[in-house]
Amino acid sequence: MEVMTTIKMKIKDCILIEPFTCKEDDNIVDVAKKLREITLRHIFVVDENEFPKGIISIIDINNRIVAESKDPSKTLAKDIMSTPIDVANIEDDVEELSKKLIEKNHVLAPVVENEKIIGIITIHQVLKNLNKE
Amino acid sequence: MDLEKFVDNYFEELVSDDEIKGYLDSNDPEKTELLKDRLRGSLKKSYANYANDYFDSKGIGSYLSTFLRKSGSVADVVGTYMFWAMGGAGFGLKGAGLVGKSVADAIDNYHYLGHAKAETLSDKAMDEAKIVGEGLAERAAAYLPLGVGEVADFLRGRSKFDDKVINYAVKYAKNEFLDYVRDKIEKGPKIVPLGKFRNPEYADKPLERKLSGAPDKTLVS
Repeated sequence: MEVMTTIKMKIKDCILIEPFTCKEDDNIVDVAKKLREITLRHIFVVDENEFPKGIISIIDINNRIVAESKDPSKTLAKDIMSTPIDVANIEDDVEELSKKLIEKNHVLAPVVENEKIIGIITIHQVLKNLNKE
Repeated sequence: MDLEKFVDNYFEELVSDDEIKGYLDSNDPEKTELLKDRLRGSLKKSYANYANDYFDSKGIGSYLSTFLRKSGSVADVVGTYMFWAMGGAGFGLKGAGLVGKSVADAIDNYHYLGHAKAETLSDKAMDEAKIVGEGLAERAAAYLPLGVGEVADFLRGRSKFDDKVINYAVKYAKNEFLDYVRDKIEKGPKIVPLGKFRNPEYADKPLERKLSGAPDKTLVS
């Protein structure tokens, strides 16, 4: 009888993007300045230990600041960030992460090692590596 | 040499080693400190594997060989002067000194072979051949009128055995550390730098490096 074996791909086998982050106490003007420098549409909010706590998208700034006439210089990242977020560990299986991302309709996730963000993984990378299993 | 002294003595030497230095030169001080701690760990591990047994097991043989080596050196030097001044009698004393030192070497060699660890048996055999060869050369040189062998013997003495053990331990620590960091880099994820996602509209402004708290990793170019 032929025995089929599957090699589980791990997140560490994927290509990640360097972390794109701001601090919880950064004001939205500073966050917006970071977002305009980089073509990514999301930025992760990290605590003092560089652990990801939330995420802010450009749409969030539109919907939660501009549309509500809030002062962006007086509003902090932690006030408008979306929480909770799914945090992937570098040793996690790609398959598990793909299920989470698809289920929640998320396009990316922060990747941590030793409780510190080391990169960002996109759904594109997840699906590409899932295909290799 | 005990563990603490070994780590203290050779940590700085390894930190300034060209190959290791490349990995320690990072913009992230926290990462540098972590790697330095890892390097200390490699030294401790290598001492435990390659040197602890050798240095720990030095017993009465060590005192005997030290005594023989010192008294042999004295007899050797005195014998040389007597030989120059009086001839045959000095030759005898010098010979006794050389015998004493040879016995000391034999004791140390026996201890070295029994307790020192090398990576392979052939390494150990080569070390032994080298030490014996050096010893014979020194013995022969001791008969030169300039006293070259006496000085060489005095300067090296038992340390030639200790040096071999320490050299192995330091070499092992270096390789162990380099294997660790290379493994981390090669097996770790490839990380695309944020610069690849730079908005061209703002390309004229320098990218703020502290855009993220990103640790330095292998970057995909």
